[in-house]
Amino acid sequence: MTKPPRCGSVSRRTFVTGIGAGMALLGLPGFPNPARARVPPPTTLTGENFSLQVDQRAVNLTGQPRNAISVNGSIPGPILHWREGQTVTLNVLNQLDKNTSIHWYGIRVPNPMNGVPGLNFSGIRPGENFRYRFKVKQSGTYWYHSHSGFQRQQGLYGAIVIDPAGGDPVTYDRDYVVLLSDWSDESPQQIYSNLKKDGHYYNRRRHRTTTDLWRDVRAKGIEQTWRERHPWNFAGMSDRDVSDVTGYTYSYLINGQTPEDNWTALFAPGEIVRLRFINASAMTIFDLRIPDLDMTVVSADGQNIQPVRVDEFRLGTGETYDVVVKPSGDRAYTLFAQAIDRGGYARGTLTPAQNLSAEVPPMDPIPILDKRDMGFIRAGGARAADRQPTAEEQNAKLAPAGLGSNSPIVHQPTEKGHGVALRARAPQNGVDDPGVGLREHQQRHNRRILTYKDLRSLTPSLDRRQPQRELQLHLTGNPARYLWSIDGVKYKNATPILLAYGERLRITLVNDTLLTQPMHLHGLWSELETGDGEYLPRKHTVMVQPGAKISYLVNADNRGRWALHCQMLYRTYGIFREVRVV
Amino acid sequence: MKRTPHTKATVIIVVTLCLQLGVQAAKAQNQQDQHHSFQSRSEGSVAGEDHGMVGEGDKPVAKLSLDQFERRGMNGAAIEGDFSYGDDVNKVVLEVDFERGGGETEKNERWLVYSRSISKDWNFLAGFRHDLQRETTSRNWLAIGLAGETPYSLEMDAVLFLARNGSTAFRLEGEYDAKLAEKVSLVPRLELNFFGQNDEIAGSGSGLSQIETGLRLLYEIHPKFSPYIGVHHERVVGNAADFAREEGEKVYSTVWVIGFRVWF
Repeated sequence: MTKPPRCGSVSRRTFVTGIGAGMALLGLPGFPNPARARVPPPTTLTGENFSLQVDQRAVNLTGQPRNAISVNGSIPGPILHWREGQTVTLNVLNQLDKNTSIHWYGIRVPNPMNGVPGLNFSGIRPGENFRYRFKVKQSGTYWYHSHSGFQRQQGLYGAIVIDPAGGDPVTYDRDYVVLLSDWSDESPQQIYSNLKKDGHYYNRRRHRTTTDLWRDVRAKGIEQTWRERHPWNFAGMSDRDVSDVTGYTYSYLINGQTPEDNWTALFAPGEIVRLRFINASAMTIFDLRIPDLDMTVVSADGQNIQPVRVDEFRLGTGETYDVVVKPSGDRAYTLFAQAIDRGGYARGTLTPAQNLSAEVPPMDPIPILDKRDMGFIRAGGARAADRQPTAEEQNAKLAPAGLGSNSPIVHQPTEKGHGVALRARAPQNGVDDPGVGLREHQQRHNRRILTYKDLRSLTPSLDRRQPQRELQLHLTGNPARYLWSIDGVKYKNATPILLAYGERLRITLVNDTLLTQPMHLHGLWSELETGDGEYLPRKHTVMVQPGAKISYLVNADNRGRWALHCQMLYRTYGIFREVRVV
Repeated sequence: MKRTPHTKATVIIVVTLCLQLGVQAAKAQNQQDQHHSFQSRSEGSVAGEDHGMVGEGDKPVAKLSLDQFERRGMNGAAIEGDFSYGDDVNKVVLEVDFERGGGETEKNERWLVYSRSISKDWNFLAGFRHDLQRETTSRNWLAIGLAGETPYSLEMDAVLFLARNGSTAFRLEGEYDAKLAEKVSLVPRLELNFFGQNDEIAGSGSGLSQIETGLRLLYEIHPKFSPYIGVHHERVVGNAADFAREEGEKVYSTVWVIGFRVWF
C-alpha cells in the first residue's frame, strides 16, 4: 500500500512544447534564460543510516547564477524516509566554510539531538562530521532545516516521511512530497539589511494611492472613507501589511522547481494520491488549492486527524498537511500555492500523462486587513489591561482544557517604547478564523477553507489533565524599524521560560502585530485548543492571526533546552524564547 | 570663536570617532558584500551563546542616504544626506546639508549627532553642527532635536541650535510622501528657520526668518533610487526680509529642480 514518496520529473522540452503557448497567453513571466539549469529533484533515502553532506552548489533559478546550500547536492535535500520505532543514525558532514546545523522539525528527539546551536550543541564546524542518533517515536510528514544563520533561506531544508509502525489509517496508491519554499537571488544578509533600513522595503504595494482614495471617496463618501482610513493613517500603518518579504524578491518553489519548471506528479486513473504539503519557506505563508479537485486533509503537522474535506487551506511556515485526492483520470490539475500577499505563487501539476497540464488560475485579490486584525474590535467589552492582573484574576479558574484561554489579556510594562508599534486591545480567539484574505472565499468563490477549528485528532486526547497554569506571551514588533520581540523583549535580553518536568500548562499567544506569526515549539507537542478537548490535535507549529490570540496545551515531558520561536526567518532573532524543561 | 585646548581635544576625539566609524562601516559593508559568495570568508562566531540566528539579527546597520541631490535653477544646487551607523537603539549620524542659490552658498553644514530611538516613530538627536559658510553669527552649534513621523505619516524634524555666544536657532522640517501610483510620489516639503536674534551679515532675523517650500515628483526606478523633478521656493520674512531689501536683494526666489534620491 505504502510506496516510497517520490518526486516526479518531466523534461524541460516536454514542458515547453506542452504548455508554452498557454503560459504566454496567461501573461506569465517570459521564458527563462536558456542558461538556467534545473536543480536535480531530491532523492529518497531509506534505511537506518544516513550520510548527509552539507555543501554549497551553484544554482540558476531565475536566469541569475547564484550559490545555494544543498544537502547531498540537491535543493531541497534528500527525502528521509524512516519507519516509526527504528533508531536512525544521521551523519552530517559540513563541507561549508562556516558552521552549520540540522534541526529535525517536529521530531521529538532527546535534547542533544535537536540541532539548535547554542541550545543543544555548539553547531557543526567546517569539515566536521556530527552524528545524530535517536529513536523515531512518531510517524507522519515532517522536515529538517539548518538552524544556523540564514542558511534555511539558501536551500538547506528537506522532507522527512515516517511510516507508522502499525497500519496506516490513510489509504492511498501514490505518495508525493510537495515541499514549498521561497528563493531569492539576493543574499539573505542583503534582504535582512534592506529590512533593517526600511521595514517595508519588500512590500511595494503597501501604500494606498491617491487613486485608491479617490475611488473610496466616490464609492463610500468622504465621511465613511475617513472613518475607515483614520485608524490606519493615524497609526501610520497600512492595511496591506500582510507580508514583509514578498514576491518582489522571491520565486516560489515546489520541490525546488519554479512555476515555469512546473514540478509534475503522475497518477494513474482511479488512483488515490497522498500529497504531503510542507512549508519549508523562509518568510512565506502559502494559500493552497487544486482547482476542481476536492482535497481531504488527513494529517496536520504529521499527526493524523479526522478527515476534513476542503477546497483551500493556509499553510504557515513550518506547518505540514497531508491531503488525499482522487483525481479523475482524464485531465491534469494545477497545484496552486499563492503567497499570502498575492505577490507570486508556486505551481505544480498533478497529471495522468506527462504532456498534460492544467490552466494556472489568476491570483486572488490582495488581502486587506481590517479592524479585527488590529485587535480593535471590543466584543464583550473585555479590554486588555496594561497592568498585572489582580490576585483575584490570577486565581480565577483556568478555562477547561480544549476551550482555550479566558484569562484577561495583560500587556507587560516592557511592551512600551520604540520596539512595539501596536498592542491588541481585545484580541479574538483566532482558532476559527481562516485568516486575512481567506475570510470571504466561502461567499465569493464558494470554496471551503480549512480553519484550525476543523482539526480534530483522529484518536482521543491522551492526556486528560487540566492545565495547571497559563503562560501568556505577546508577540510584538515594530515593522517600520524591523524590530521583533516577545512581550517587547528580544531573545538576547530575555530569560528562559522554565517548565517543571511533568507539568501540563496552557500557552496563550497574543499577536500584537499585523503579521500572521507561525510559532514553532521544539521538543514538545502543542495541543491546539480548538474547542473540543476530547480530540486535541497535536501540532508543532501554530499560526497566530494578527491582533488575535490562540492557546495550546503543553506537556513538559521532554527534558532539556528547547526553543519557542517565530518560524519567519528574519523575525526569529527577536521572537524567540528558550523553553527549559527541568 | 577662540580655540581653547579643550575644544581642540573635542575636535580630535570627534575626528577619531568619525574615522573609526567609517572603517567599521566599511568593514560591515564588506562583510555584506562578501556574503554574496560563500567562499570568501568563514564565520566562526555563529555557534556559541546564541541559537545561530541572533548573531545575524543583531549586527549593526550602516545606511547612507541622499534625500536630495539636485540642481536648482540655472546656478543653484542642493545636497542633503546622511550616513548613520548603529544598532536598534543607538546610532551615530553624519549629515551634510548644502544649498547654493543665486550664485552664492547659502548653507553648508556638517552634522555629527547621536540618535536614539525613543518611541515607535521618533528619534532623539543630540550633537554638533558645524557651518562651513562664513557669513553667519556662529559656525559651531549644539544641536538637540527630534526626528520622526507624526500620525498620518508626516515626516518631521525639529532641531534647536545653541551657539557659544548665546545665539539660538530653530529649524522645523516636514515632508509628506503622497503616492499617486505604486511608483510615483508627490512630495511636498516645508522648512522653517527661526532665529533668536538678528544677524545682518548672515541675513537672518529674529523670529521666523526663512521659509523653504518644495514640491517634487518622484519616479521610483528602484526602491533605493528615485529621480525627480519639481519646484523649490524660498523666501525670507520679517526682519530678514528687511535686511534683504536694504541690500537690494530679492526677498524670494522660485526655481525648478531636477535630481534624485538614493540610499544604500
